Amino acid sequence: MKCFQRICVALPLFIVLLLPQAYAEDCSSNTIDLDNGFPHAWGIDQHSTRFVSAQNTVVNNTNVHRLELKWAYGLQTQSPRSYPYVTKDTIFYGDSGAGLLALDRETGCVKWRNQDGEGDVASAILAGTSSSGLTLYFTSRRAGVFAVDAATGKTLWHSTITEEPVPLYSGTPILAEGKIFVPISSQEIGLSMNPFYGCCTSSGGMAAFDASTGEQLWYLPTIEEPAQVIGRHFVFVEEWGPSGVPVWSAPTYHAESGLLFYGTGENYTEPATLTSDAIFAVDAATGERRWVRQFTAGDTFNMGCVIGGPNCPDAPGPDLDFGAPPLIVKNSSGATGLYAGQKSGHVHAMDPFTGEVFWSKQLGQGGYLGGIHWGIAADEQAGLLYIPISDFPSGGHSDLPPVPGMFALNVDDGSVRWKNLQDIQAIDGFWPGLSAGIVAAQGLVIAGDLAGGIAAYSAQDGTVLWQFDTAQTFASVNDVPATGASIDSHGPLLVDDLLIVASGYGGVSMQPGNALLVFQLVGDDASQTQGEQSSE
Amino acid sequence: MSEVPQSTARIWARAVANAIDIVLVPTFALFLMLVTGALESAVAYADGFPYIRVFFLGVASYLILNGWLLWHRGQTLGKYFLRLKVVNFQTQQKADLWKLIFLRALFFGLPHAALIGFWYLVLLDWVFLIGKDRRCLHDYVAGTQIQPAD
Repeated sequence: MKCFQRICVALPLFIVLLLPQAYAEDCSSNTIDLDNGFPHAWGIDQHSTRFVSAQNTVVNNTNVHRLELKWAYGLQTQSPRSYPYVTKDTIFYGDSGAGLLALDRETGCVKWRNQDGEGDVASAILAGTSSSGLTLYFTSRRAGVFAVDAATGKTLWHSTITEEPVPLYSGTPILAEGKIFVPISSQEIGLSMNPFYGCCTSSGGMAAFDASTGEQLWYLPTIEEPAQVIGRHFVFVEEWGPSGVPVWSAPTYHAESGLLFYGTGENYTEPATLTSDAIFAVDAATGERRWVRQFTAGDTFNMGCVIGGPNCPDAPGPDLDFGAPPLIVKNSSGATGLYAGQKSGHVHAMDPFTGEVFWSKQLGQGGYLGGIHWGIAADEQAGLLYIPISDFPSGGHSDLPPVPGMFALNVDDGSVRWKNLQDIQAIDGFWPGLSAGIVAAQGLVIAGDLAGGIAAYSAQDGTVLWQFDTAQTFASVNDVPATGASIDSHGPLLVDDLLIVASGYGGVSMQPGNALLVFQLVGDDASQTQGEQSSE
Repeated sequence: MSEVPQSTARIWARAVANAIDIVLVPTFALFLMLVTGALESAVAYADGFPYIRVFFLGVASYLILNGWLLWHRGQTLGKYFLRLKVVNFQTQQKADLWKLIFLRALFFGLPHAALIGFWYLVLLDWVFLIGKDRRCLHDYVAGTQIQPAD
């Protein structure tokens, strides 16, 4: 009898322990209020301005100093590459190998997990309404694009492109006109390090899928000519080209013209094409090119060059991608402009309908890690472009000195309104370059740096209004030690009275960490403004 | 078990023979990979790392280098150089080819697994050598023993 009792106790306990979904930090209730979701794209809006209006955040230059840490979540990944989608009560975030998480906005407990992304949620979390209700979209670096029911976390569809054998879904897609536009790069950037690999044959590109069904609608490669054998090494290994020209970053959509804009990276192998390190304008309905404007010619580079491998081109280029999406704002005369930041440290202003260059300005030394790396922002009303410069020591190709810091440029002519440079003479830790995407709001711009600092700059003159050192270990809501380090990749988000940022990035020589940090405005008028907004 | 005359091979000779095989087979696999281009194109990596192709390259290399010797003499190249041979433990005659390939050769990958952290598997295989028959675990599995070659 005693034996039977023991079995009765032990067996259910054993089964519970074996259940993969049983986590101590799971919420007691997993209901989700899907109203008021934000933001609408990697770049906050379809124009990729990374500007959060007063309708979507109460944080501004007068109250930002009252931001305090609300809670920290210990991610499983040491290289977070996601950007949250936030509803009234839930924060959706990609934890790489741990999948897509739905976190309670107040407490950080987990409402559901989706681990169908085969281990690598690598994009911002997007949302759109389909016949299934609110649908979340994300890409997994090797597995493709996923659509997930926001209420339940169940996968609705999963798609991949068939045109490229080893695509890399690294950039965040954009939703527009019932379609999801997915930037495509290539795993060959890494395979090139294998000396026995015949580098390289694939092209980057842009793919369009039906957002409701996942059906592929069109695919536009960045290289149209097929790769051919251009040489051999080790007697047998064939070298191929042209190749590369990946699209690393999110596209930008202009609804009035129906045009999609995106930047490209370098050629992996020779011969270099006219489409590398360029800005593309494409008809979003058909996938036809409207124009392509190249800014750095002859740039051939792959990771084989980093290790001195035989796949490195004979005359490797500086690897000056467009890692940041181009953004669209109007200038003071009302003309629409397209503005793109390049890893060379340049900002280029273009006519979005012709590709004609209005002005170009170089701010930093540049290098294969930027220069301008993940993203820029703009405040159309203030007529300002906000440009974060990293200048992380990485093959800087110009004679300019490194100038990591924040720059505010006049939209009209690129003149510098103000700048706030990091003090690189006083570095006692990691390089404090501004590599991650940034976010702007009323009277301020917020940026994280590679040393783990995050700061709010005044839009007026660039003075620091608030700052916080995230390079520390936090007590987390899920009992996983949350350690902050380099702030890189997608950067901070402002929504309502919250500032959300992931700290730590183990990729490309940066400092790994796993802290998802949620700050909130504290103080009487913070709750008042929040209440006012909720009642609208 | 019947009494069998045993003059087992020295352990150092077995280790050297094994080391020769461990170097030769992957080296030949590399050559085979270069010639065939089996791991050279993007298509090979379409479903992630091509473990199956690597496995078959290893098997093909092992058989090309050692197949004839195993069949006719119960030897690999390493054992040929060290004048050793694999025999059936019961009969002390040449071991069956199928046992050498489908049972004994399965353990050939262990030293390579040691390179990626699974060193204890090699230890487990070799710890059986301390028995009086001087037989590794793979010898027990295949029913074989190593003897000096004539």
